[in-house]
Amino acid sequence: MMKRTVITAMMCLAIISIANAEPGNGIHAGPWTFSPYANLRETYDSNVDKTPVNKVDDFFLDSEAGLKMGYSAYAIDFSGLGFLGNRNYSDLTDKDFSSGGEILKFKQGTHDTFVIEADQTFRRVEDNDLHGSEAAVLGVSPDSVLDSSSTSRRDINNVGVSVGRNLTDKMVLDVGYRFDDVNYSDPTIYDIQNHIGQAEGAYRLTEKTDSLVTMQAGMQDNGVISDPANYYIGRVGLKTRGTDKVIFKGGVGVQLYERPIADDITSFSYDLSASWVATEKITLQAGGRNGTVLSSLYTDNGSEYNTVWAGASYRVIPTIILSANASYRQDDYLDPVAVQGGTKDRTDKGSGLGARVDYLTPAKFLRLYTEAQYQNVESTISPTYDETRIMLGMKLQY
Amino acid sequence: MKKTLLGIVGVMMITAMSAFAAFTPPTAAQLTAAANNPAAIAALLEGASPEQAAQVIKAVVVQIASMGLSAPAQAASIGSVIAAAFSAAPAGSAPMLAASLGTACGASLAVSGNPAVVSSIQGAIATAGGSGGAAMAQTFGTAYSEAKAASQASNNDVLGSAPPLATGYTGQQNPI
Repeated sequence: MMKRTVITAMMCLAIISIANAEPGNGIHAGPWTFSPYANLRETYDSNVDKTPVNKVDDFFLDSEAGLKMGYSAYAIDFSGLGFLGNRNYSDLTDKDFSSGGEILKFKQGTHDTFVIEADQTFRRVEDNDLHGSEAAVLGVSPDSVLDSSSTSRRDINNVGVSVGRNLTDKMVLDVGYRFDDVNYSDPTIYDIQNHIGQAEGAYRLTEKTDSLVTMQAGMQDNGVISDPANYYIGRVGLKTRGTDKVIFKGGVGVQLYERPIADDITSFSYDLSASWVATEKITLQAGGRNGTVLSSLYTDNGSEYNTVWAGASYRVIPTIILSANASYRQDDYLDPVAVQGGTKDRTDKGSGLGARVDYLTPAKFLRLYTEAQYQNVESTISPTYDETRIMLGMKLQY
Repeated sequence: MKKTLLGIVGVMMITAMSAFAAFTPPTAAQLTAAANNPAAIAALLEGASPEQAAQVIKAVVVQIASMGLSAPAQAASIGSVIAAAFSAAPAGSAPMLAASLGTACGASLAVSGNPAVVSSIQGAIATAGGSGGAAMAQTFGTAYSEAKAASQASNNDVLGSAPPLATGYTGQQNPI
């Protein structure tokens, strides 16, 4: 053990000694880049238990340390992230938890010849999945496998691979597969597995616009249902390419959801996202998508979700950035759910607002920020609750 | 339906793989040589598509970033590479090259993790693009931001990040 530690330390020293390193810019050694970081954030939470009555507030400290690494050469890019984190409450110490995980991404080739991408991640998280947005393999959003209890403690595995190339000078095809596995610590919440294959073809309409055809086929299982649920999606849409101010990608179409012990459901499907660099200082973003997910709460049920969001950022001066965002998600359960005294249709609606100020200090390795988040959640089967979080944080990055 | 889908995809992929590209990918030695002599990059870009050219430029820039140059020398060297590359670009392809370069750099931690390098590239594009340089620099920046946010395992920042994956519902867990 001692010998291994010494060897590892010597290798690290050797890398640093031959590398070009400057705090905030990472450690560069040829095609390799290493960037250790640490985050600290203190949060006031107005409603720790997310309850409509008898709210309990508390402060907690989130700490995270990790290492980003990358390899970059001609037509090859690899990036990795490993992180470990802790949350410590001031009073409610029985709620303390740790988290951790890794994300690996690899890409080789170009669409002119043949490009392959592979992604893999494992994350053990509780509360919000801060690294979830980085796991959108194939452009398939991670929330396609999250039920309404997504803030519970869980282990998440995602693996994806895709290949693509230009079929002609105007046509591009990408084909891929992704596997998602969400394992909840709470034994009363069913684990979810999701397999999805996707083929997406783009055809150049104009110099800066492509038409899109997206086809998906997937299978979902919660481990207790008699047979997996299958779904098929076909969408047509548009996307921009090489634009200077507006990025858009979106499609609309149809989804067929085959349920094992109920009638199939055919529904409208959409997945849209757009961003607009309005000025050198202002950027606006918006998007929305829908889908059907097998439930983690009910054996033979599922929910149709719709989620939309919008955000804006404003760079006041080079060192100060203001940003704000709003999001809304609605889950409509496919079948009535059991409640005391019978059954009831269940619809959950969650809306959130956020605002943040970032200060990029003259020392490039340090960023300070303060953020406020408000969330309101209502359901047809339980009273409404809301929650406010006020945060103060710092990011240190070598 | 599944079999039909797989059949269509299979035929398209086989057709695609039979195609041939004229461009010859550079060797590591050629990239190193171009990092030391930016004018040499023009020869490496012959027959390259914008996506391939962007990958060559990115690889050369990564080499420059690891050479331990002073900040002004690094910026000057990157500027020379960009100028030579955009001069060698076929007529009308420069805007797409800027976009492809933004995508390539956004997906590369070696570039995106070094703000000074990104700034040098964008500034050099603005200069190399002449009257249309500002728009091309903007195109680079837009593509860069999108690629960095979408395809890189990075430490999550709130700016430009996706919304919460799902709003919290732990107060409304399984009622059964």
